[in-house]
Amino acid sequence: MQIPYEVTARPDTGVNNAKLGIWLFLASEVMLFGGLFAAYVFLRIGADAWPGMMMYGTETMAERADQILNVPLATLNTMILIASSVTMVMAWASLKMDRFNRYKLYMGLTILLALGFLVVKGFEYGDKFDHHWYASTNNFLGVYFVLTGLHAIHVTGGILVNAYFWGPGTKLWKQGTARDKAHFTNRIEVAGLYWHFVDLVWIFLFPTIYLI
Amino acid sequence: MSLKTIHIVFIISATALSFLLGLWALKRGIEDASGTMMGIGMIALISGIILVMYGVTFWRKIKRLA
Repeated sequence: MQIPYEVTARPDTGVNNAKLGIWLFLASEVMLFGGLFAAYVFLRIGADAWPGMMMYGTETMAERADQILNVPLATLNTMILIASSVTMVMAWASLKMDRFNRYKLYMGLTILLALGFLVVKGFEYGDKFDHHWYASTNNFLGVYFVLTGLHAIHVTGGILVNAYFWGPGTKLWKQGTARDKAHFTNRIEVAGLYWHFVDLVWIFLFPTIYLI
Repeated sequence: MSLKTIHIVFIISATALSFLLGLWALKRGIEDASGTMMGIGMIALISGIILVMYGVTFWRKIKRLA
């Protein structure tokens, strides 16, 4: 038995099942990150100094976020994520043009770029830990670790999904029927929507935490 | 909303960020006499221009994939 609206759009919603599902999921994600952004705003409004005291019992006071956070590394990570969103959309466009080898190349690049993002983030976190700066140090670092950590978890989730569609998930495409190919292309579009959401979160997170 | 549309939204947001980061970093570079920040500012502004060019090219090409 075939599940209806896997490939074609439902007449009442105008989208297929997977797209409706991912948008409902992304709506819940907006609420999750929105709540945390709101917490950041209220913590900052109520703070006497921001970022504030960085070491208990010493005179180490930071007046600007970029004195603590590594803006050059974050800029590099921003460029990596922008590039990965381009390769992701290219992977989907390759399937639309029935060029499977191109799809594999672009999806592979997307995964590698995402892994690169996590490696750079690891260096950034390592630097904070070397200074004995943790989420418990002050509200600023609490917000920094929670928001960037949650984002990194989402990047990891995206890597797992994309790796599945790069490897074992391609079985659907290789079955070769027009319906299977259209179904697989829809899956990649849905994965691409999730990946763009993750990238968009970073586009707002970077200036909010690192620059302002 | 399709992947094409969300990609355009993303590129517009990334372009805005690039120009804002560029101006922010140049300001910091001048205030702190920091070559690193000046470099980041220049790279960000150039990236912003590249993103505008990419966005226009993408928009023109993707219409054919509808």
